[in-house]
Amino acid sequence: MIGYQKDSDQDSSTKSTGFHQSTWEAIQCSGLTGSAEEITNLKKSLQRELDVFFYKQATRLVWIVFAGGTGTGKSTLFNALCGTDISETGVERPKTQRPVVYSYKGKVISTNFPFPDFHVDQVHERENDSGYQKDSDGMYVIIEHDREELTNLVLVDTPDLDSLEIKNRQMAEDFYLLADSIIFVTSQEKYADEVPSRFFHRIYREAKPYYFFLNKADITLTRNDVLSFFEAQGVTIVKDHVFLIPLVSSPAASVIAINEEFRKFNALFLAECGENEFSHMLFEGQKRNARILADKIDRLITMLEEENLAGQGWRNELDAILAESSHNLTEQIESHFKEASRNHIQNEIRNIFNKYDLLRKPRSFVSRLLLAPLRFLGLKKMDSTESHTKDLLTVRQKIDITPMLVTIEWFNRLVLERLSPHDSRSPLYNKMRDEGVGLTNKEIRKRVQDEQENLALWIEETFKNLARGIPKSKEWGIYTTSILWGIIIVSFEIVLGGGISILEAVLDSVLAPFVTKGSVELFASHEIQQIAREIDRRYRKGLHAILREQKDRYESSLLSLITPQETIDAIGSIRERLEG
Amino acid sequence: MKDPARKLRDNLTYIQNVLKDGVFYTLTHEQIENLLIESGNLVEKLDSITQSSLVVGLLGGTGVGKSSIMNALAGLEIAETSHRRPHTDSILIYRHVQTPLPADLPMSGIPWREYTHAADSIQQILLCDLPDFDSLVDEHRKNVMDFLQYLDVLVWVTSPEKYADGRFYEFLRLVPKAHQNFYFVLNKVDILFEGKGIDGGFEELSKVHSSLQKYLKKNGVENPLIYMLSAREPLQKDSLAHWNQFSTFRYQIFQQRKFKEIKDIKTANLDQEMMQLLVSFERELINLEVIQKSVEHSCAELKTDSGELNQAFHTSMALWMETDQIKSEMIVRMNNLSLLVGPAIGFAFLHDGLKGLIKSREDRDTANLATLIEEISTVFQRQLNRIKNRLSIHILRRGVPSSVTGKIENMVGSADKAEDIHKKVNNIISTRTASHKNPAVVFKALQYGAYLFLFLLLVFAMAGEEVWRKFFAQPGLTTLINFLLASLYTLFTPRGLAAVASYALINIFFGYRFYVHYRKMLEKRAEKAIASLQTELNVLWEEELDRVHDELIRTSNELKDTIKTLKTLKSRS
Repeated sequence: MIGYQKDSDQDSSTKSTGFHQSTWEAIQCSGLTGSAEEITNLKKSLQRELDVFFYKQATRLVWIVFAGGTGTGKSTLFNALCGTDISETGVERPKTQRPVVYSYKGKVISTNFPFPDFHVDQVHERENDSGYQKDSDGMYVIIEHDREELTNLVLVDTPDLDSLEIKNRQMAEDFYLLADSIIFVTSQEKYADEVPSRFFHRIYREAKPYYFFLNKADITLTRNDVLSFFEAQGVTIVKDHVFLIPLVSSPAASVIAINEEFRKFNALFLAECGENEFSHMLFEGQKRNARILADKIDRLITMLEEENLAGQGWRNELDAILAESSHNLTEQIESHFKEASRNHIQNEIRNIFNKYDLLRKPRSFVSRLLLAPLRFLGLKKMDSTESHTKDLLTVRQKIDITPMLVTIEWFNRLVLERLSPHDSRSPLYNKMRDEGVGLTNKEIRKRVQDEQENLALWIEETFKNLARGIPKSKEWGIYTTSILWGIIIVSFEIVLGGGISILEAVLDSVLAPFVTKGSVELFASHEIQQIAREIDRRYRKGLHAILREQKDRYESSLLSLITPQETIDAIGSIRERLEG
Repeated sequence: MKDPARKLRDNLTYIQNVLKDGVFYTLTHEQIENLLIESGNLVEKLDSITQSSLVVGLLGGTGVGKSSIMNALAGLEIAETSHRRPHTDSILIYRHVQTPLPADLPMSGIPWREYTHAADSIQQILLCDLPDFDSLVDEHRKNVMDFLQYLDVLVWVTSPEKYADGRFYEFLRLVPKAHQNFYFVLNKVDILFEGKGIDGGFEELSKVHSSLQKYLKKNGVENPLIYMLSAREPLQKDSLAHWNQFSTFRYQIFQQRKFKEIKDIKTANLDQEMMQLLVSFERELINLEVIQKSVEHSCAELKTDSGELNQAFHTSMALWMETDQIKSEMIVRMNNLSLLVGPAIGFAFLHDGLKGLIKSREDRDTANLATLIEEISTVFQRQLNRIKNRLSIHILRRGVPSSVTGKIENMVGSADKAEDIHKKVNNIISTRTASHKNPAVVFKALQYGAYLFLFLLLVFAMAGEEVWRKFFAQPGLTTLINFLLASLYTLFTPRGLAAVASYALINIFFGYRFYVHYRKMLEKRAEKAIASLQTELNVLWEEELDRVHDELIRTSNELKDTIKTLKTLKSRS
């Protein structure tokens, strides 16, 4: 066997379409609209069809494709048309396993062939021994001829489209895309079969030129029987494009070749697809293909936009869940300091004030004198002073991060419950469940610790600044640094526990009697309130940032499945190129 | 070997028991009801296998010659054959006049007509010609599907042209009947002999036969019974070509069968229908396995995280327990003035009164303990919710429908646990405080002793050295009276007054010391009480955690049982 095998799976990223592979890869779908499968399929078929379109534009050949059910006699008719037995015929079904292409010698077909998974065997008619049709998958055979009347035509015999070999159906589909005209072959037994009929409906719908062969026809069957059957399905077949061929015995191809009906077809075929008509056919075909492609592109764009819209909705929903969880978090940490625990806090603060009140220094002198015997008796302990850092550490050790953990868990749960697509095959479904989307307890703990660390640093800094700013003359009384520190520590503690509203109320009620005495400035109440508020603001922000991080992780798992607008625009621009 | 009918009955009973007793998660109530009804129907059908007729159906694509075979079997043109496609649209039943039709056929809405005969030798057989299943006319397919329930034996008809059609095999896989009741007919084999001669024809025939066999095998029919025949021949000619297996086929269809054979055929079909029922369990089985894994995972997680969970509980609780408020509340509850004697009582009153003056009314809020109990049960609830949440996330991550999570969460524990905790906490507090009300006899005796000693000291001091020396020298009634009188006498002298004053001061000082001691004791006790309360609450929590853990293990085992049952069910059939 002479010929060559060529791997046509070449650099597919720079096909003649000029449409970059990465654009196709950027088409993503989350499955939120339920059209994930359609998008994936459409993407695949569009890619293929565009390749076909530009391939056809480059090669400028008219493709005539034989298609039909298994056993209807496509190959026999193909051989009859070609005039030689080049496609094998027989009773094993499905007989033809790979397409056979009959083309004029020297026409280059295999360059940039749009179906990269096909390999090609190219051989000249005269050198053809029947050994070419070996059982090798993904191959097609090109038989070259030198019949001038068929110079610009490519005749293809395809495998069946209805047998249990699914890959045959795919091949038939592929060559259908290439076809400028279809020779549809059916038989007495099969013309009412659903699968081939649907295929013919498609030819009809997409207005491809066709020739309708009813092979193995019974003598009693008339053209009208067939026409009226299809009429009932809403398909009007052009009457003079229907050919009824009776059942003949072998050598079938040569018997058919001299059949009256077939010769009628042959003449019509040469008249319609011959040399004079070919450029017109090509033009019409490409126009038709462009229209179909444009429709498909429109459909794809619509679906992608719907997906993106659904994605937006999803993100809104996610925001709503975030808001709900934030609220939940606030409520949870605040529940640590319920109204009932107000007393407790009030006492703590009052303790500080009682210890460091206005007359602290003189009073302490007096009390030291008075209480000396008591102390002597072991009644009153000396005040113990702790270092500031130790205070902060103690407070932080007391902090419970459970609310944070609980909230994140709650958030995860809500998201999975409300936002997960139901279909386990949808891409988002799996993306949401990926390892690393949910924050682990360890991560949360680390982040909370970091937040507290930052806050503690800030407090120390603020305190130092504040202490530095106190005038010497006021260094006694409420302005003593220790009272400030005490207040700040309590504020910190309460805020970490989440009770800012209580803290404010308590501060007000404790400070109020002093403030009304007209010494607002003296009591630094503004500073204290401000610091407390600031501590609260910062801490909350920190906690919510952790929650937000969790939200962002979900969001980015969606965003990775959203087709960017540029890609959609790029697809749109192909549509324009087709029309232009 | 067991009787297949009995085996089927056993299996059906088993299914029904599983449905009644099993714990399912994703099967809805209606689905279970439906399955029960369907399995009941199957039992009924099994019971009603008494009539010894067999319904044989001819199935095939359009144009393969089902009607011709019908005619050939009947021996005359009862079914209209035509070159027009698709031809047959109603079901034609060929039966003996005395053989009854399937009882509910007239009500089924399926179009049918019949042809009765009187050939007694084939009285057993009801022969049915069915419409095609591969044409554009969807209604035909639907009629075939609807009629399938009546069929016992299925004859699948195809042709040299159509035997590789995808549709044929799709439909073959769809039909829920036992493969042993299938016959395959390759009709129109005469075409293969046309223009080929006998040898050529046979060669073609064997090629087609082996392909058909290969495809059938690929689609699950292991040993297909294939008849290669031409139904046209027996109608047109008297003698058949020797490649035509029509007569063997005819014999196979019309042979006299014993009741047991017929029963086996029907049972095999019912068995197949039961298999269809089992498909409903598959999804459930998968879900159950996932849920079981999630629960098991949660169990393990609970075990490894128990330290952390306990710590979290402890921290949350300590926030409420270790406050001055709770301490003073405890002290108030344990305050027992009967322990004090003399001036110490005065100090206690004084202290309480002062405290009342200093502190505002809000502080005297006695709801403190109630708040504590509430807070602690909230802590419990929160921690439990957390465990539930985690469990739900495990389940959701693995992709079980979210409707299940509620069911699983209920197993962990419900809201009325708060009530339990409330009671338990109350109990602990009351027993704790009660146990500390036992009078400390030693403390009281010490006080009495001290005061008595002071008093004696006073009396001796006032009586003067002479008098008590005399009293000790001659202890007797007279000297004792003397001694007392001397003391009394001195009382009204300046020395006596000074002694009484000193006595009073010293008494007050003693009273104060005792009171302070008493306070310290109370404080210590309160601290102890709080500490032990904490320990007990921790124990309570750990018990709760254990309970949840046990509950999860129990659930997991229950799930395992159901899974095992479902698997047994699968393996039984």
